[in-house]
Amino acid sequence: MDYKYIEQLLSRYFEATASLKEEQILKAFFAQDDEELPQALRQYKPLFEAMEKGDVLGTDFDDRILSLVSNASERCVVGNASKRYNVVGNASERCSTDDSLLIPQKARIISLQERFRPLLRAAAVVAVILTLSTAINQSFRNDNVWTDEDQIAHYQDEIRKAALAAATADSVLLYSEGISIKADSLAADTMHLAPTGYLE
Amino acid sequence: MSEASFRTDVLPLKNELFRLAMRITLNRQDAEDIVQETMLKVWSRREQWAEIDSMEAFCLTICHNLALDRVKRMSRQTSTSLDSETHDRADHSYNSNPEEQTVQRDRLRMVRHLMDTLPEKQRICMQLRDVEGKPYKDIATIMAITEQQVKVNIFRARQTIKKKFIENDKYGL
Repeated sequence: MDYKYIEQLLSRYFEATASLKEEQILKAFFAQDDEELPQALRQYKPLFEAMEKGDVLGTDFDDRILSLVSNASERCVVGNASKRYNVVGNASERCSTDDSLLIPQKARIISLQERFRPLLRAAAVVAVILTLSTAINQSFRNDNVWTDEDQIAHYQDEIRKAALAAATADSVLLYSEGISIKADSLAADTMHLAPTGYLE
Repeated sequence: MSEASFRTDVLPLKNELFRLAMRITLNRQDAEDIVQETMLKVWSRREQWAEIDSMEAFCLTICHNLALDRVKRMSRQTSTSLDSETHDRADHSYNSNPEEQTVQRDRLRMVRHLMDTLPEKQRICMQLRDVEGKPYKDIATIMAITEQQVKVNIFRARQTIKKKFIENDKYGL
């Protein structure tokens, strides 16, 4: 008999290029009795025999699971590795919360800096918000200072000051004028007096 | 979802889950615990069953992750227990007996031992492919790795077993 095909399949199997169907053919082929296999291929029999679905769980396992499950319909069961067959739980909401194990999670090493990154990020956000709010607050406050009434009062004040200044300037002018007038009249007096006094 | 559909869709997966858990933990008792834990977890999420494409893949994924967690926890507690156990088993495979049947049985035991001594990923890939006959795509989903990585793991596993098996066949028996 020609076993070329089987040999081909075998080499494809070891190269991991065989399809599922081809692997099933190999399994079926090596499931034959030893005597029916050619001597050269007999050595591979245990290899495929070892891949058979051997280990099973008994019916007592079914009973246990079903009783746990019917218990769990009322109360929530949290299967715990260390506490075997332990039925824990009171709140039914807990059933849906524990899904961390469903998503395969890889453990990774986190440096101190990475660990504090969320905290630093939060701090940065708070700092930005505080800065912005202070800035906005300040600008609002500046606007508030200059209401119309204030402005009017300010201008009135300015006007009053200006008026006062003008008045002062006038009076200074008048004063200086007064002085010059006085000086003139004094001079005139002396002028008047001198001739008379001189004549007398 | 009802208890009836749990009975028909989930419970029959127990042996498949058990074999996977066993391949990962290498311990019968632990594997049984893990299957129980897996089933209770699946039951507790019964509201989501309608959204699940394949109940089998869903259960296998949970079982795979629980088993890996258990192994990780165990190795942290006792790093030597697994080794000593597998060494004990190895001794059986060298009890050579002149009778053909016994020889074949020893060889079978040896292949099983070789499988159990493969690196974890290769072991899981081989279990799902060679024992359970799963497509590469499903294995990739269950293990959360790429299809290419699955193929590489299976290739390495088969090469190792072939090499060691043939070697042992030459000198051991």
